[in-house]
This record gives sequence, C-alpha cells and structure tokens, in this order.
Amino acid sequence: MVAALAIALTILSTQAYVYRLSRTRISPEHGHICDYVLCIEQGSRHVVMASLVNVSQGGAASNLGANLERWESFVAKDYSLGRCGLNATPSSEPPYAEGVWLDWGIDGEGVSSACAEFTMNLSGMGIEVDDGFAVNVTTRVIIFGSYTTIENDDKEITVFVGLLNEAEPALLGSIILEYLESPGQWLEPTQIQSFTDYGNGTYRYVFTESVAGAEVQVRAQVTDRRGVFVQAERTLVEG
Amino acid sequence: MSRRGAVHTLDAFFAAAIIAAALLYSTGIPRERGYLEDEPLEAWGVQALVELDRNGTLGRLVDAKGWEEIERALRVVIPVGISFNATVFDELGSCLNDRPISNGGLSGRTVKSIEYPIAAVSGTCPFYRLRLQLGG
Repeated sequence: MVAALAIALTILSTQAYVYRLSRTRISPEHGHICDYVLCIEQGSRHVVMASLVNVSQGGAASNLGANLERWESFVAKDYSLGRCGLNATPSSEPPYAEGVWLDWGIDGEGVSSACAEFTMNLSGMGIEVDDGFAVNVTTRVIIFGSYTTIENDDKEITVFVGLLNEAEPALLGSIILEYLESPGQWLEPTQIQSFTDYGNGTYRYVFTESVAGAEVQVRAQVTDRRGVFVQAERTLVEG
Repeated sequence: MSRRGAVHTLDAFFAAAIIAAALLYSTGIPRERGYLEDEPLEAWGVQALVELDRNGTLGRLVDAKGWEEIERALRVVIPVGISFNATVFDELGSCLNDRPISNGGLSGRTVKSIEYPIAAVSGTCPFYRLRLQLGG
C-alpha cells in the first residue's frame, strides 16, 4: 500500500511539473518590445531602400538624410509602451557620401548603394532597450562577354549580365542593353538572337550588329526588383 | 481463505485502485495548452505584420490602396479564431481605407490594438501607420 501511494505521488508530481514547465514563458511586455524592435529595424531598412530607389533614378543624395529624419520623428510618435528614440546617421565613410554610393563604371561593374547606422532607445513599462544596427542596401551589376566576327564589320556579340543584391544573386526587374554604334550613339540591338536566364541572377544575351573597329562597347542599364537603378559599361574584344 | 490472505488481497486491491486513480487523474492535467493561449493577441498581430512587411509587400499594397489584397493576406497570416479589423492612416494621420479591412468584425473575450509603422519602398518613400485590432 505504501509503495502504491509512492508510485501515485510520483505520477502526479511528474505530470504537475510538466504542466508547470509548459506554462513558463517570457513576459508579454518583453516579447512585445522584441517584436517592436524588429518592426522598426525592418521599416528602417525600407526607408534606406526607398531612398536608394529615388537617388539611383536621379533624385538628390540628400533625400536619404531627409527621409531618415522623417522616419525618426514618425516612429517617435508611435510607441505605445513608452518612448522610442531613433537616431539615424547616413554613412560618411568613403566611398559613401551622404550615405549614398553610386559608381556606374566603365570597367564592367556598376554599384548603387546606400548605408546608414541607427541607434534606438526604447523605454517604458519598467523596461529599457538600447539597440544599434546598420542598414546597407547594395545593388551591383556585372557585365562581361566577347564577340566573334562574322563578316567585315558584322559581329556576333555575347553579353553576360550578373545582378547582385547585398552580394546575393538577384532577379532583374528590367534591363536596357545597348552597344556603342559610333561615338556618343548608343543603340539597342535590333534583335536579340538568343537569351538565357540561368535563374541565379545571371543572364546571357546574343545579338548580331555591324560595328566598326576591333572593340565593341556595351552598356547595361538595369533596374532590380526593388526599383534600384544601376548601370555598367564594358569594352568587349574578340574571343 | 486465511485471515492473513484476505488482508493481502485487500491490500493489493487498494494499491491497484490508488495507482489507477492517480493515472486517471493525471490524464486530466493538460500537457499542452491551445496555441492561441500561448501568445498574446498583440504578438500574433505584430508577427503577422512583420512577416507581411518582410520584403516590402505590405508597404506596396498600402501604397497601391490594395485593401482587398491586404485583407486576404491578413486572413492567411492571422490564425483562424482571431478576428481582426485594420485601419490605415497616412503620415498626417488621415484614414485611407475606404472599405473595412476585416474578417467579419471584432469578436471574442479580449480585444487588443496594435499600431505598426510602415515605410513603403517607392521613390517618394511614404510612411503609413496600420492600426490592427484583434479579438480572440
């Protein structure tokens, strides 16, 4: 009988312990603050991205700073559990100026990038959170290729275009591919003979045009899926 | 049967009865609670909005005034059993949605409200505030 009572007590206490463990969790306020920090970080990233969309399409570089200031005051009014102080600083370290770096080179690589650093302080409900994070949005295009002479000035030109978002392969939103027909005159190919999408942010274009000389200059003007514009030029040789 | 044998039989019977009763009672102790009890309503709401906004989808939908699409998306990401009603405000605080964004009106014992700031990824970088009321 005593043994039976001991077994019964063991069964009941084990079950009660398991139930108690299942009820253990972090306080709701703590979870709510973590979610809020995540939401502000995500929004901050979108502000930097939207600013890069604007600047890469011809807007002033100062728009990044202006948008970040608007965002700071927008979120300061929002936090329902207390005070939210967000401070954003556009990066000024070279090659960035006012948080923006546009380098649309002639060496086959073009970069559109924006970078800002954030500090955030949340206080209220007896909890204080200090957080710091950086946001870097970069779209990079790389072009390379070669041509083969068919007859006289007629050349079959092969161009590879690679697109990267934050150093990861990304998909094209749109592209304008051009070649330099004569000094200052960029033309789109009359017909793309072959197009290959490798599915990893790399695309291959083949077209035939009449271009004088031993070199062919090509240019790709690319907009990624986020709306960021970037451009690169390259001189192709026979190969 | 001897008297001693009868005592042993009774002893065994009561021992078995005690263990059976303990087992029966322990099955009544819940091992897991319902998934809706594990998280407060606000957490469900914020996590749903963070997920929708991860690649800028929420901002794009608000920017395009796609209220129906937002409602459909919220129906997918908010668990069945939680009712919701969303209102979208612009940067100046004016209400934008001209139709309700809801799955049939708020209901439930508890109603909570959260506000979620949105930055839309477009050239003008507009900001919005989405107020999500949840009932469950």
